[in-house]
Amino acid sequence: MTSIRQLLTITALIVLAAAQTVYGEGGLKEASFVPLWLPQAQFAGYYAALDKGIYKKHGIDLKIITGGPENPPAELLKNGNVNFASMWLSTAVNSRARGQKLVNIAQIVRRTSQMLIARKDSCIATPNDLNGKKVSVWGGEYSIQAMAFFKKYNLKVQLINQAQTVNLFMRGAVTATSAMLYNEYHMILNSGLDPEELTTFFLYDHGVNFPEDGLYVSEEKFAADPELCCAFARASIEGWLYAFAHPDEAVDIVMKYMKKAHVPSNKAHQKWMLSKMRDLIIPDNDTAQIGILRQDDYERTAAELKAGGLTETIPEFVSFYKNCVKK
Amino acid sequence: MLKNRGITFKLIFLLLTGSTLIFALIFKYDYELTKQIILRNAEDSAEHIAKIAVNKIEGVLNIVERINHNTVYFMEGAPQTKEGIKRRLHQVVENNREIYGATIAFEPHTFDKDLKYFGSYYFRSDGALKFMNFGSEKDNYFNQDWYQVPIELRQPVWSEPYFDPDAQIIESTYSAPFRDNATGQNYIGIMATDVDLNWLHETVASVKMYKTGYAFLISKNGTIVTHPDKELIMNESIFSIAETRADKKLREIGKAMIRGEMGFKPIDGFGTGKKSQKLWLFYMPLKSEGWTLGLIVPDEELLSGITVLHNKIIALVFAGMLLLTIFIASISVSITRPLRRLAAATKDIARGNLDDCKMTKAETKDEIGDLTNSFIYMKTALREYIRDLTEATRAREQIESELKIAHDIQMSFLQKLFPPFPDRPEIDLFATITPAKEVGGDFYDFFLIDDTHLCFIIADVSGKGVPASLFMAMTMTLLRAQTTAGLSPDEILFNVNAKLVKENNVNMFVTIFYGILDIVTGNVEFANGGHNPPVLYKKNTAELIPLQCGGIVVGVVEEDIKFDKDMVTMQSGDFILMYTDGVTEAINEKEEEFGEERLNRLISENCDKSIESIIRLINDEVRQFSAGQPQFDDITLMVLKYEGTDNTGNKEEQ
Repeated sequence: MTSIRQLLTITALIVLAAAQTVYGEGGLKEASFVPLWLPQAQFAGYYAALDKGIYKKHGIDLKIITGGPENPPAELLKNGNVNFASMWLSTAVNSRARGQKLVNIAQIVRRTSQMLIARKDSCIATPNDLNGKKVSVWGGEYSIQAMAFFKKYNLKVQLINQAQTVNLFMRGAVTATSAMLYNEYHMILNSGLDPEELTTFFLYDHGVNFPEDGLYVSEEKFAADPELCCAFARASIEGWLYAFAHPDEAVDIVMKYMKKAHVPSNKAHQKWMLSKMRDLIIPDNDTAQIGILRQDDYERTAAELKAGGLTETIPEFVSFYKNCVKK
Repeated sequence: MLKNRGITFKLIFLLLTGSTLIFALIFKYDYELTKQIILRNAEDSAEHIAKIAVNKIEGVLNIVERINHNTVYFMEGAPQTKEGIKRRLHQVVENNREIYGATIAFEPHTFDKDLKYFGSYYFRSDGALKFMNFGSEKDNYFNQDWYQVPIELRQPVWSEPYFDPDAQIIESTYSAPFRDNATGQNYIGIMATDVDLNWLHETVASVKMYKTGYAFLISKNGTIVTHPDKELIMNESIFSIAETRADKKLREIGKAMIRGEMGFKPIDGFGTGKKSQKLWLFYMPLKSEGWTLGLIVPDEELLSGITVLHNKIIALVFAGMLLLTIFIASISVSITRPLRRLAAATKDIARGNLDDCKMTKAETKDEIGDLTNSFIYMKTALREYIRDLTEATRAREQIESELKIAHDIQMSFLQKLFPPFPDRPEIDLFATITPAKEVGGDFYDFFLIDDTHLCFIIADVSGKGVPASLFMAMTMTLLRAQTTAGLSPDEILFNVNAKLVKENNVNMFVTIFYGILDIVTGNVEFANGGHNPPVLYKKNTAELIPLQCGGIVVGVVEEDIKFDKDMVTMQSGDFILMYTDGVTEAINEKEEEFGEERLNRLISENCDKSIESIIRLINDEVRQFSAGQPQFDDITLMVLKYEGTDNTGNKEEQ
């Protein structure tokens, strides 16, 4: 009894203390966030943090805007339509190089999800087998890693522009397709091809590694309220840890938002996605590293972008990255 | 445990077990066979039902394909103007209600070398036809599936069904590339026809089989396009369902389905629910689209007929088993009832109750009837036997009692009062006879012939029983009768022999030692008719002299046979020990005879004891020697001791 009462007292104190920080600054601060794409488990941490009141706990009254082709995050951020956005590092480097004043407040996905997939029965076993073959890649900065891979193996492939489905590959219009570990790979598996029937090239295994999803805010906003920005970053990371600890609940939360946004969804795919996101967010199994952008990762990514002709200058790391995790 | 049960139980148990086993095997075989037939029929009817639906769907989609191809010919036939294309598309959409929209789109700079994007699109909207131009960057159609896949493949393609967010419907697009009409070589664009798949839902939903059997449609990628559970449509694929249900078998079936195969397979449930339910899935491909129609029927509905049938069969068999049990019970009771009666009768018989036990003659002529009749016969025979036995026993008991009397009479012949002549101190005499079980033939006798002569006899009649006893009595009487003063022992034996031979029709004989002691002189005259020679103990020399004398057994050979006579003289203290072969031929457990040697030693060792003691000692020794062995012969001992005339005190008195 005594211990329970003590526990209750301590809990009450903690809740009070938390409430004090929030209300001490005059209630919750309103903020908005747009993920890179439509709701899916790629953003499970943010939706979980929202649903489980983690943002509120950090003093933020957050609104998540549905991302996707209609709402490109860089655009929204640039126009001031949103406070925070999730973007690939390559996109952000490009945008900043082109003069958009945005800063990285947390690097969530620290390992590339990109891979190339071919059918074994089309006689693809090694990278060299792709020489002269039709390979579909996404446009713009999303193609840079594949290009680096082709360059590394000195391959001349017929590039085909790839959209959001895997049907070019499924119907045999291309020999190999670009894919993300957490998404297209599983879509292909769920279209009836077994892992044993596929040759997969994980770009990370071939020395090509761009960190991907990161959290961004305009330089201006960061200067005005760095506490809010870092609170957002930390709450997001906490949301991810919650999602990894409660994968079923997190998937249910995500699927609720998918239904709301009329996005086709199935639990098997979202579960796969969440489990692969864990591999990409905590590749070293060290949760303390979540959110940290390493300078060498940054420099390498920027250098590849420059080499690929997508950017002319490499923005300065210190002005680009604001460490809210402080490790 | 079975062996302790009655015949009725055993019969019922074994027959029921056996027939249940046989029935179970036949039932199982029949069930499997019927199931196979039913499944084959179900497969046939599923194929028939699916075929109708597939034909109906393909009928519609083939029209779409044909219209699309006609437009391709239209595009390839002659150079077309912007207006001509627009008119054509309008016609296509307006005249075919299956078609939701139609597009003609060109590769960059092929329709007009200044235009990167050129496309025309007519589609239905709120009951009217609307037109749209693809002419700018925002209309980028080059890497949309409906355009990109056929242009890359250079062949017509049905797209994966997709959700059109503007129209809020599920569509699929049939698109075919067309060539440059001038060269007829390069593919320069795509003719695409959008089909609203709403009617597909209705068509597929109308497919029914049994009570709850339903159909569903999957795309080439396995995506669920139609299904009674709307939640699955466009969200799940057969593979994601297999993954959620962790059902590898379903995934394999899914792969066979998208390969365009046809089949009829059992599955453990379908849909997103985890619950396992035995279902049958029939699938048939829609060849040109690459889609597959699936038909699901619950196993229990498929086999409900066979289940009802088999339940009835089981009920019938149960009733049959019951009848069989009653039947076996009644048969076994009819067998065991007489047996039980027999058993009771046997107990009565065993108790000796032969007359009270009631045995009725068997009504049947089977083995049990035979047994009953045999029993009745046995009982009768037993009763007669027992009656005979009782009578025989009674007769034997009478004989035995008579024999006992004969024996007593025989024994009464012998003198048993010792000393026999208390007033004659010159002589001492002692005798014992230990008869064998039956009446024997030994005897001894002694009497004074006159004042100075003592006759003493020991004899052994051959054989036993009453004849020997009578022969003995006769011999004894004859001996007494023939003994007259003046006749010597050999003459007396001669006379006795003559009389016995004459009247002996049974070839019996007797051995006799006959002696006459002259009490005054101590002379003993004797004759021996084949008897064991008595032993004379000479006191002064401590010699043992056998009283041998020629002569054969009495009463059997001839009337005029002669016996020898001999004579010895006894001094004071000498004695003669006479015995029958019952002494020397007594045997011990090793089948050894007591023998004369052992007898002589006993005499020598105990010669100074009283004659009564000597006889008792010998009797004891013989008894010990043959301990445990039955006594076959009479044991007779007699000792005559001569004390001499010196100490005759009262001779005159006698």
